[in-house]
Amino acid sequence: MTQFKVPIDLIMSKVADDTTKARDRVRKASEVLLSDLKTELASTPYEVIYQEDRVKLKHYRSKKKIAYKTPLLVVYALINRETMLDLQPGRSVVERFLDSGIDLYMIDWGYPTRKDRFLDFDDHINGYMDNIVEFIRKKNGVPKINLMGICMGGAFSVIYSALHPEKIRNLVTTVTPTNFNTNKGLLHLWMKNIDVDSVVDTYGNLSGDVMNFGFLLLNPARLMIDKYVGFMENMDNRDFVENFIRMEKWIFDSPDLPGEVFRQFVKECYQANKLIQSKLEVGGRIVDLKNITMPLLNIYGKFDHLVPPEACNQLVKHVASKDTEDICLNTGHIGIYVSSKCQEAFAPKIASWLKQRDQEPEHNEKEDSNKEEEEKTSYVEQKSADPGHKEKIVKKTTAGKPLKLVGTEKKGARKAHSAKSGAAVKKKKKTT
Amino acid sequence: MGDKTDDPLGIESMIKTWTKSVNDLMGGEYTQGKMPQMPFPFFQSPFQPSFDSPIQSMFQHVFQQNQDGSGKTPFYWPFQYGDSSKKTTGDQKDVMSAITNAMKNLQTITAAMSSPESMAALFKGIGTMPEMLMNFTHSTISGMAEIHQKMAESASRMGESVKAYNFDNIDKDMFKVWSEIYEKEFRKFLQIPQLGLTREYQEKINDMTDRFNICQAQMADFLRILSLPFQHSAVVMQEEIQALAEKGALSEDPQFYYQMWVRILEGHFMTLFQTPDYIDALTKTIGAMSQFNSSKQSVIEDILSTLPVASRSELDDVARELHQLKKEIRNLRKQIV
Repeated sequence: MTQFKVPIDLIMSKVADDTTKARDRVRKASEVLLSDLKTELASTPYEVIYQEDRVKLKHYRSKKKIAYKTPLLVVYALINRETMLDLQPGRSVVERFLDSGIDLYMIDWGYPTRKDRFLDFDDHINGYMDNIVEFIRKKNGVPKINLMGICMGGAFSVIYSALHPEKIRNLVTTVTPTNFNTNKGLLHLWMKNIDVDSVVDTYGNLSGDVMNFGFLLLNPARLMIDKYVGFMENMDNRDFVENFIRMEKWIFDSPDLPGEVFRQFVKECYQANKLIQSKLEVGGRIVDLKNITMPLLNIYGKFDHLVPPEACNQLVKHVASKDTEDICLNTGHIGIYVSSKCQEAFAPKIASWLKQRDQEPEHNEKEDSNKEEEEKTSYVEQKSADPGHKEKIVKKTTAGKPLKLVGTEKKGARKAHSAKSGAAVKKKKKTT
Repeated sequence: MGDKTDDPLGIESMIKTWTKSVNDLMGGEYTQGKMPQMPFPFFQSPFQPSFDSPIQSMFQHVFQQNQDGSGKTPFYWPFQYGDSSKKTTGDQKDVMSAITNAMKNLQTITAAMSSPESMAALFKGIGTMPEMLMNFTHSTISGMAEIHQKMAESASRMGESVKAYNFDNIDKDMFKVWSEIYEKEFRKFLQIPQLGLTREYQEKINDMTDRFNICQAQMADFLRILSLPFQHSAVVMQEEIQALAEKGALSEDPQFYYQMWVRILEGHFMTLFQTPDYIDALTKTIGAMSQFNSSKQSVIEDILSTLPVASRSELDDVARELHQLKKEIRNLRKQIV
């Protein structure tokens, strides 16, 4: 048997050094932990201008002049809270939007209680969301608003835009699952077999703590062990501790999920994958993705373990919008919103994308509607004729800072598409 | 005791004896389909002791003392409230005759119980209890032996090498044995049909106990699966350290080993979470928890029904009605606008 020389003496010496350092660290950490820590979330000022049951509408006060004609409504998921978009000053998507001059509204879904267990997609989308959109339209005197959805809120936004396209000018979806027929994400695997009826009938709402436990189980080595080892190693660092505690506050601030929403999301989406097939029924109406004709910006994370790229990148293929853009960022599900690097790319990108479409005159719907059929037909022809209509791109931000974007985009958004569709229209005219 | 009979509790034998006693008491007329009109005596002194057969004599004395042979023996309240000589009439008579019959039955039973045949049957029935206990104990011991055997088998495999990031050969039997034994041997005791007024409540409690046991077994199995990555990581870690040692590339930094361990552990978890075994265990655990909770809720609702508070299902009904009303109002409002 081979004898190995293990440098036990050196390892022990290193451990002894580390023990001394650890003692110093604990002493400093006690000073940090016992001092006043700034760990508050969502400190950007806002006012609640509309409330229906537990659901509130936040309107953020901007220090700068509003530079957009169309207001933006942000719809967060029913899982966790919208405070993630405003973690702290200098690290806030909300702040960046306001700095860009966006008139920003955000839905706060509140904390569902037992009495909310029967609220389903219809109540949230055709009820609360529609009432809020109506409120903003009236308040701002605009026929359409911009809609941005996050995760499940993105799925709600897609459904809303398909059911009420006349009220939405531009649609932005971020880490939004629309295609559930994938085995890439663990949630997609786990949800396939779960007996959701038994869970909902028994528990009513799905407890936030149970959901959080499920999320921790997605990567226990990192989320339950390494994360706290990292905290112990840095607990003498005030900034680190404050940021860490902010994230802890956000992560474990989990409202319960209304039972019927959970049932519908699992059965109709995860198990039957109806949304992307335009077979989902909400409020007695089929959610036809071909009704989505407004410009669409779809952003997702390459390393997202909750909503993998495969769950997001099918949307643009199934909508009828002529102006679509897919962006895949080199980050995970939460990193898109909280990582400093991604925030530099993410929020300015959305702001500039909206700005570009805000300045353009609104299409005359009557004129457009006449062309609509021809264009739709031509676009379908173009897509089917060109199987390689997607290509890898590397983009730069408007500020000129290089971004590591691994993205796919529909070939020739806007101008290129118009030119092609024009050609196709001509072709179609000839044939007809 | 060890005899296998069709009547383990001796019930059939006891009924036969009882029927015989009744028949004897009625003068053999019972078997011929004729119900005799037995006069019921005046109950003057029921508690006269008899050293020969105390229970039987207590009632026999009453019967013998008051038979007048007419078949229309009047009944007077035994403890002589008021005038005992006064005859009963009308409804009073019906009540009295009912009590008379009840007393008669009681006497018959006590007589039957004291007969040698009944006592033998009773003792035979009692004798079957240890037999049941023996079966029960046998099941338990054999089950435990099986668990030990599986543990020994698992222990013997500990020396075998572990293939990194591979959960194809998860040792399923280790903790599942208990579930199987429970379901085959113990569960049936909780599923014995309950009788009487409290039947439903007792069944619910038994069901809750049963669901709790299944939930616990399922949880144990789930936790066992969750512990597998730690076991595998420890072994793979040893192998990696051995490989480093062979290369002479061992680090002096403990952090290096921690990072290596976390990386290996993460890899094992990621692999495990995609295995059918894990998904099956997760699904079953969630199902078992739901069923236990549902069963528990049913018992709690029964308890709450005795208290002046609304139960969860009642509140759910109110919430459902409120939800439907709000939906209708919303639709009506949109139609009007």
